[in-house]
Amino acid sequence: MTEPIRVGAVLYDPKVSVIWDIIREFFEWNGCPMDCVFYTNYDLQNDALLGGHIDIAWNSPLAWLDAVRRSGGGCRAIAMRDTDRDRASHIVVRADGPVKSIADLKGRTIAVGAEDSPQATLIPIGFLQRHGLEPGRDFTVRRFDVLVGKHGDHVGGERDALACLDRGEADACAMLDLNYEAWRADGTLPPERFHTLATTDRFDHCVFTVRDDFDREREKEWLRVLFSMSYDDPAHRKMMDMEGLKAWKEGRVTGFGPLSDAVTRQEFWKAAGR
Amino acid sequence: MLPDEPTWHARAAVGRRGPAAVWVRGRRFTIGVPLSFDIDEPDPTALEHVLGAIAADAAGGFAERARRRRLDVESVEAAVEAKLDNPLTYLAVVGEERNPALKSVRVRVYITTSADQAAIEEVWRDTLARSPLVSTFARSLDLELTYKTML
Repeated sequence: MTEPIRVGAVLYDPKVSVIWDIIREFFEWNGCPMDCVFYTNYDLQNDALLGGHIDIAWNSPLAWLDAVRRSGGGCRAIAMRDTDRDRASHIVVRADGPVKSIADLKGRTIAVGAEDSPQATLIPIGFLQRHGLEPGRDFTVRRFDVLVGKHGDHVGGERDALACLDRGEADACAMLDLNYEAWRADGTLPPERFHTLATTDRFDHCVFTVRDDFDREREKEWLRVLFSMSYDDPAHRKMMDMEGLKAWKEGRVTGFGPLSDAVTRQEFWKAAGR
Repeated sequence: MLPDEPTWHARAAVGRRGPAAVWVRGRRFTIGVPLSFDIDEPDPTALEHVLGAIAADAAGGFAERARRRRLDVESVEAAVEAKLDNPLTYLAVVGEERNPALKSVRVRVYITTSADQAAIEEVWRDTLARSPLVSTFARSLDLELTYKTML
């Protein structure tokens, strides 16, 4: 029997295991045995990837950068969801508030997600830095550290930041465009009460990561099965809806610039003690 | 101790796939996986059977004792809500600590009755005191049972 390919994933909610059960079964049925290994945070998952305990890691964008950094560039991005490409974060303000431009944020408080959330903290703050506003000097950061280590996978930090803005305890907050759209649709973010002040540059999100030395033939076979999933097939659709995609795409590394810039400006690795 | 202490038996068997077949006193029923996070899981899980048993114990125990006291009880319904200490431990998530044990169980019993409130209260206390399941779980976890009467 072929040795199963070991794929790591960080679980922020036990319900996510259902997605991986479906994926694992799909690979088994297609003759490409796969084992799922779950981790409580991305540091542990990257330890396992770089230590050779798993073959593929489903990495957040920050975990991707960390894997590349720790391996000296010895990792490859092999696949991602269609919805991982070209994301953006919005900086949102109260419609009746005093903030009408980015410059108006000077001297004010901005609510963000967890300290390691690319979309709700690092990239939005990096965006403001590129517009000349430094956290601590020009504006106060009010952080909502929900499930630190999971890189903002859990929406709680963004939700808390929005609630903080709504209570008037902050003058702006940051959120991923997908959450923005969902909250616009369900009434959480009514347009008459909240406006978009600014939108960050586009960036890419999660990505399947392998070490450079991962066997190319095994990788090719695994990708063949992954890319054969079809949203038109009802058996695949449940998982794809849960995971928020319509199609798997090839991995690319061109969409991590805004995050890379942000972690450099904010000296994230140094601040995190790494 | 009784000279011939009563003993209960159950037997479960599972094949390569599918639920467990369980036999008690020659009767057969099925139980799914130990625990599931999938709302579409086809069979009630082992955990759900335990919660159902607690609910049935509370509702059925009360109804039975009320009947013996000739209280007018039209129906009894119990709703159970439970939490695990750490469900991620069940999934073998690397780095997760604590354990997957039941942490808390909340049971709310709805009694449709025209009987006197004091009599209902007495039967309720008697039910809890004499329930094997309630007595067992009360020793090991945060178990809360409350009731509400309705006309």
